[in-house]
Amino acid sequence: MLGKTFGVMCIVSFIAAGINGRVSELSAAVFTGAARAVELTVSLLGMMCLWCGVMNVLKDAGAIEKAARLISPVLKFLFPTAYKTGNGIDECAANISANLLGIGNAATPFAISALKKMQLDNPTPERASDDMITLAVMNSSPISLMPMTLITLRNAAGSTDASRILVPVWICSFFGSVLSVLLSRALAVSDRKRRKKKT
Amino acid sequence: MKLISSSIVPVILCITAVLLLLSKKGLIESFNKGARSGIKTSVSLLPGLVLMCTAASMFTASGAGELLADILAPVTEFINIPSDILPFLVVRPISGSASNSVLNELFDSIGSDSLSGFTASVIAGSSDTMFYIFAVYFSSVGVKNTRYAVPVGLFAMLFVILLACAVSRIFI
Repeated sequence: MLGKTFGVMCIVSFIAAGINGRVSELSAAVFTGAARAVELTVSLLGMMCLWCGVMNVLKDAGAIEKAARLISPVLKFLFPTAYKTGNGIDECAANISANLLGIGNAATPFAISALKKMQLDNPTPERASDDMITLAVMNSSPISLMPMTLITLRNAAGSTDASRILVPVWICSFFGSVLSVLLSRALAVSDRKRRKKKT
Repeated sequence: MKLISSSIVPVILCITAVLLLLSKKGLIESFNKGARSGIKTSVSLLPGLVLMCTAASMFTASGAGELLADILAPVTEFINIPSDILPFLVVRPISGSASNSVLNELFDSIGSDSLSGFTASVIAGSSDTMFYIFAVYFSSVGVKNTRYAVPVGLFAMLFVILLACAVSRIFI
């Protein structure tokens, strides 16, 4: 996945740079891009460290369990395997809450530790399990209540009413998220049926 | 609303602080353990991040985004997407920082309150960097076969774009 995406983008960029006569810009971009990855990691490191620590405290104190119980019916539908075994379900609950609250930086570490635990119940480690796909798809079109970065960006660009986008964003992100989750659940079920028929 | 969303992080930290003060079980050890795993996770993400950031930076610098938008223009005109938001749509699923900078350019050239600027804002708020997220998530656990994840993600993204174009016309 990562290799293919990189390969395609790299080759397309090279060809496009040739056409547009921007080869020297392309070569400069390689250096800045790689450096930006390190900058990003360093800037994320503090928050990752703090959040994972805080989450562990909340988990050991039993607070996450209580919060997860509140949205438990939803979790049961979204992640049936993780719900049954308990592996990664707390992290999924935390990931969903972080996305709703618009703290995207906090959502990523939760998702990754959820995936690591889901991998324990995955009979085919090289093939994504149903729950993993649901989690990934949910994060790629999350419901956002408060897109702060975007509003700040609009404000800086001199918008007269920067937060007028909120209601349309709620509508679009809600239906987008619901659609992606329903689709991935439906495909999971039909996939299982097809496999059963084969054996 | 703004106050609520900006007080969430401090509130969670305060709850944690109270727990740390009250507990007799030495919860600070739990903090250390979690924080250490946080460092390990973020460092293990670096190789993938380097690849994606380099690719995204090359993609924007080479003008490939604009080129792709030019090729797609007839299709998007047909389904009623404003053509000036195309460069933004191309980079949106790939890189957060790249799409923010393209969005900023768009605001500068045609204004954040124009129909295109408004539509692009709604799409930015309702979607995320799909390819980047899939790459980071699945490579972190060594999954190679992502099955139906990409088709579902792309379909949902297309749906959000079309819906955003329609909804923006109503709300602007």
